Amino acid sequence: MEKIFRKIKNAYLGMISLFIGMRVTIKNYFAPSVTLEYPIKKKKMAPNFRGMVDLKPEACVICYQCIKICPVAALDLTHKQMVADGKKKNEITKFTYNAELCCFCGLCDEICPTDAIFMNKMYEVSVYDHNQVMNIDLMNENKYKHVDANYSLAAEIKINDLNTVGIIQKSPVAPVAAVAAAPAVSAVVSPTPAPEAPKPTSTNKETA
Amino acid sequence: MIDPLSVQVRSMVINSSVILGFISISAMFLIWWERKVSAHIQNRLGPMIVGWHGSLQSIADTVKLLLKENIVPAGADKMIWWLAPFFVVVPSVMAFVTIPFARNFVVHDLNVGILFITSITSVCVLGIFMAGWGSNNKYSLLGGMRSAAQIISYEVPLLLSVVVVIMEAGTLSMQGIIQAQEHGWFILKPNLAIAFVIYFISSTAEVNRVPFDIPEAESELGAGYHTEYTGMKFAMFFVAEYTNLFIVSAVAATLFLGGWQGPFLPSVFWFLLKSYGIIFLSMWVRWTLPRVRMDQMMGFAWKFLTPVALLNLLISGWFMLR
Ligand code: SF4
Ligand code: SF4
Repeated sequence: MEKIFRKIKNAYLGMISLFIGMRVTIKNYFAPSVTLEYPIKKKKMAPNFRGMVDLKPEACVICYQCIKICPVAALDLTHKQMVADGKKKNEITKFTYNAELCCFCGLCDEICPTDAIFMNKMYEVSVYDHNQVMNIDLMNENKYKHVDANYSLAAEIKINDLNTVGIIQKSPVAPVAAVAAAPAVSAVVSPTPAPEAPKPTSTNKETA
Repeated sequence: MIDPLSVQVRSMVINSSVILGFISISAMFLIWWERKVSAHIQNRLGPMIVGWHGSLQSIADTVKLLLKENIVPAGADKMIWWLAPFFVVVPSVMAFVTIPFARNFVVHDLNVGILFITSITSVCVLGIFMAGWGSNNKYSLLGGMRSAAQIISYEVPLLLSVVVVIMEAGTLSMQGIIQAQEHGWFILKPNLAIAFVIYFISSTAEVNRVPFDIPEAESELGAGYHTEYTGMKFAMFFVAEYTNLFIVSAVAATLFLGGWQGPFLPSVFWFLLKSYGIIFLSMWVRWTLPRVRMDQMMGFAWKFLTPVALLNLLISGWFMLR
């Protein structure tokens, strides 16, 4: 008798739990979807996302720091000395980047004294041929056009400038309290980082 | 003078083409709908690219399956392997003969309609077992055997719950059962409501759906009996599965929810609304529950569902004699 009662109780509890489960699923059925329809809509990359190595040619001072630090020798730089108006001047003859060797460590970005070399936000970098990413001429304005038709150096530089930490700004620096109060706005970073202030780097909570 | 036989043949041809068209469209729609329901329950979107909200996805899939190579596994029992999909599809198509779609639309209202449907759909298990045996693959064989055990066990409570309806209606004809519900659907009576629950549970097992989908348990058997099938043969299993789902839901709508009866709107609309409503319920359950274990499932059928169905039968008989 007790066995039958237990069985009935089990059946009852099973039914109840089924209804609870069904309530949960129907709630989710009408809840908004979290899917990002990827190829159609794209997400903005994180501020410190390390994409392809990119260069602002006019900012490079030919210090060879990036060449030295690169652990896999993915960068190749040569220069020659020119004499223009009686002044000596160095000029880059070749600055190439081999994306197949690169391990995306970001050391070149970090070491560069003028922030000339940086890593952009490209992440759709599949190509049909090895040669297409083996010898990328960093001096070229349209270096990644063959990988991504929407690539634009100016836009990547802009994103990079916004996200770079420790850049010295000419404009008056916002007081620390204000930075702490509104971390989302302060993409520009104070040169003296306040210890309590949240690291004001993550600006893109919103999706694209 | 028109030969009466040719008239009959012609109406049969028309009816059966309508039915066949309906079966393929319904199966495609159900596959798409299942994907959508599962996606939304899991907070996803499901197919979105092909057509409006991916509505043409099933057509794209069908074309893809038609173009696929038909691979016969080496060591398969060729004849049985080849025949199995037909044994699965043909009975489910045949069951449409007695399903009353509307007030005046039923291919042939047999006076043993419900008996015909339940017996013809049991042939499906033969096809599934043939597929499992013929594939010469341990997972397929396990799937086929599980399916045979499951479908035969769940047939018992299913039929016992159908018997309650037959007792109440006093007829086996599908149209007759609907007419018997003119003054209130059968589900409104308590003993028939229990019969409906039993029917729903065992029909879920009959069509191999979660939580009773152990014959095709993807994670343990690699899709079970249809593992070795490719291309159109696989599509036939798929279509049969969704056609069977429609059949059990249509039968449930007919037996318990008054079939095509309903105010204002055309009767076919009511019938489809009720059938697809039950299908939605079954999808909803599918994406809520996990899969049960083999022994749990068999135990549930024999130790719980069958006694309850018998008890229900007894109570209904007592109600009628009173
Ligand atoms: S990211 Fe690293 S590996 Fe790539 S070029 Fe820069 S230093 Fe070299
Ligand atoms: S570290 Fe920067 S400035 Fe120096 S060579 Fe490399 S890119 Fe030019």
